[in-house]
Amino acid sequence: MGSRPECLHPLGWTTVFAAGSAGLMGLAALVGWHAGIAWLIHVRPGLSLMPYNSALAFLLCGAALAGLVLGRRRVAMIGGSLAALLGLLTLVQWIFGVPLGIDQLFMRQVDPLTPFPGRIPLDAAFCFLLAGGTIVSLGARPLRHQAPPVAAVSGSVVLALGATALAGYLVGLPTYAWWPVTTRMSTHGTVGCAVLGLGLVSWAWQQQRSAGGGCPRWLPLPVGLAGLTATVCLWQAVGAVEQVQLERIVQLTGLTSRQAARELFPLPPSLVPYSTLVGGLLLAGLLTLAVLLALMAQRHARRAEQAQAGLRRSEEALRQTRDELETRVRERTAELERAAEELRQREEMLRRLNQELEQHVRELTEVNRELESFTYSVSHDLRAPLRHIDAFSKLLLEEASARLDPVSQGWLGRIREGAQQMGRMVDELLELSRMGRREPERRPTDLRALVEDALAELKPETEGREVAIQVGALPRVDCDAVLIRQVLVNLLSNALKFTRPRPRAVIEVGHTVRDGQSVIFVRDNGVGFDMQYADKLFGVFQRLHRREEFEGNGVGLATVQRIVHKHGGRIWAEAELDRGATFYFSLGQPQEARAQTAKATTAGRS
Amino acid sequence: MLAHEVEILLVEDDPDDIELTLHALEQGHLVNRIQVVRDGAEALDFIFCRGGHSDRDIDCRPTLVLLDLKLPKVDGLEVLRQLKSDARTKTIPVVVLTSSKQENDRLECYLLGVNSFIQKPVDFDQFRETIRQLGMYWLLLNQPPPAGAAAARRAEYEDNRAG
Repeated sequence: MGSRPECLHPLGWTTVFAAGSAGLMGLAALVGWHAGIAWLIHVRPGLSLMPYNSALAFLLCGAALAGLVLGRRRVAMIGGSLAALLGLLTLVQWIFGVPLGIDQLFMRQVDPLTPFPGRIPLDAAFCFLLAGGTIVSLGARPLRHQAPPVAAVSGSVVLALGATALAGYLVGLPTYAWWPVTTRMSTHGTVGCAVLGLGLVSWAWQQQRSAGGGCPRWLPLPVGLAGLTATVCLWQAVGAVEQVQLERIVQLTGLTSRQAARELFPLPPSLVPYSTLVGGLLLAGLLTLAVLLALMAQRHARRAEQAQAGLRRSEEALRQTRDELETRVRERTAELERAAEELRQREEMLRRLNQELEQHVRELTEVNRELESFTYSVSHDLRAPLRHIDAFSKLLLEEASARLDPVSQGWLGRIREGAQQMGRMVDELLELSRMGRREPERRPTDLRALVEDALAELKPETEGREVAIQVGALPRVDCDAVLIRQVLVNLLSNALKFTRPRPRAVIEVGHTVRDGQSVIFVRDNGVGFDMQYADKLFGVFQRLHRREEFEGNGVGLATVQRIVHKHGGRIWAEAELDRGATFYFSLGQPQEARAQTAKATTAGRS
Repeated sequence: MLAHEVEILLVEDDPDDIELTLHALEQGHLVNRIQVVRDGAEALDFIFCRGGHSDRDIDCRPTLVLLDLKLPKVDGLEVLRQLKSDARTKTIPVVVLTSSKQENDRLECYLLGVNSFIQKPVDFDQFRETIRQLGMYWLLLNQPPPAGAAAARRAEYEDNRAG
């Protein structure tokens, strides 16, 4: 992947500059060849020429490198592979000594300085092969992890070769004297090689940077390699100078060989080549070490910075956590406040309900008080006129009976009966009200004793009649003895009353269990009643028989029901017309009774 | 001098009741001297010789007081309370004769020291019989408290007042 020119890093610009200058130099040399401009080919007379193929290879390499940097992969591939091909073929010619006919392929060249005119020098050919091949491999597989170090290594070798050749020109040393036959690189060719290598290295560096690596860790490798290459080249060159001197001696003295010259003129053994080698290697090693140390320092700094950044991130995370916690605390507080508000509202509601309840109680007390005074009035004032009616009717009957015919006397008797009956009704109503207002005082009570007591009270009603009364086993129950005695009196009184037409009355009092509940019953063989009127049985002043048949005002059973309900119990009857009747009642448990009373109160109020 | 110039003090507001009671008493031939007062205040005036009865001697106590409970001005319970809380009058037998037999009235009367509590029956025959028995019992059968003792109590009372 190549970076776009508009956002290129200085390293990228270095590569672009390197590619441009190498390519332009090649182009200039080509122009020189075609136009016959000598200085474009060899800079100065007497210096080595740049062969046509070299110029072409520089142009191709420059174009390929530019294509690589600017993202033109096709240009990079074609340029790189052609340059590498030129270098490879030339190397084959140099190494194996086989002429392939490529030297003079594009241009006929004459060079008096070399036996192979137009052939790319050995080191230059190696540089083209290396640079072209690297560019092709980078273009073919961009973004490989090892791409930057590979480019850097090959670039630094190319740079080292070019620089060494240039140094040879500057200090007057030969290059590659150890190679049997070669051509010296042209002066501007050496610069071109160095620039090309520099371009590759900077490209590699820039790639590493854009991958986010900072200073590449592989940097010591190309530096060391470049230093090694340069050192070896220099050592060779220094060694070659001695050889040249021996050669001169041979030529000047006419001796047959260098060996003979050396024996004839024993030169003091020179340390220069060795010191060059050792010094170069040492320098290269030190340089590598320096770069390594710089890198380590940088890495350490980066790590420190990373640690710092990590610390900042941790702080940020901590701050966020704290903020979140604060937010949560605020939310929770708000929630709690809401709950408290709700609680307050509920309390307020409870208070209001309580007030309402108190109000109800006050109202109830008031109503009760009114009822009291009403009953008081009834009991005092309502009975008085009745007494007067009866009394004066009686007096009239006594005093004026002589003047009254029997029919009128009968009417007066009816007036008295009416008054007396109303008096009884008032009394019974008062009794009902009294029973109703009394709260049962529960005590363990022997029901059998209560039954016997009630029967004793009713004894007058059995006189002159055949009455069989059977009292079964009866439990001890928790109840108000006074009230339950009244219940038994009323029920037994009814039983006696409604069995009156029977020649032999049979009345049974017993205990049984119905629906899992303990139940007391009073059974008779009396006239019974039609079950379809059963619901009227316990109503006040409700009667199922004519008054002439059976006396009574219809208050007795109402009183019974009220007492049973006060005990939290239930009363009902089963009967058949002319076949007798059975009255059942249960007495709720104390707790149950309270609960039922409470429920009844609630239901009553709502 | 007669210890009891008035045999029965009848405290009753209802004229019908007065007539019927008097009728019943007459028919029983039990009493000749009956004083009728129509409300509680007058009853107290009579008993304690005040107001219209200030010329009366407090020692001439009635043999029996027949007291209704529901009375104008001062009600029967109050009359009973004052009568029974005064040393000079507390020995006078009081029979409450009322329409009601309300439990709390009954209890209150007995707590105040009533001598008897009778409910007027609706049936006139029963009422007449009740009055007859009542008169018979209290005027003939029952022994009244000794008059001397009453006089002694009175002296004691007056000493206390002077002291």
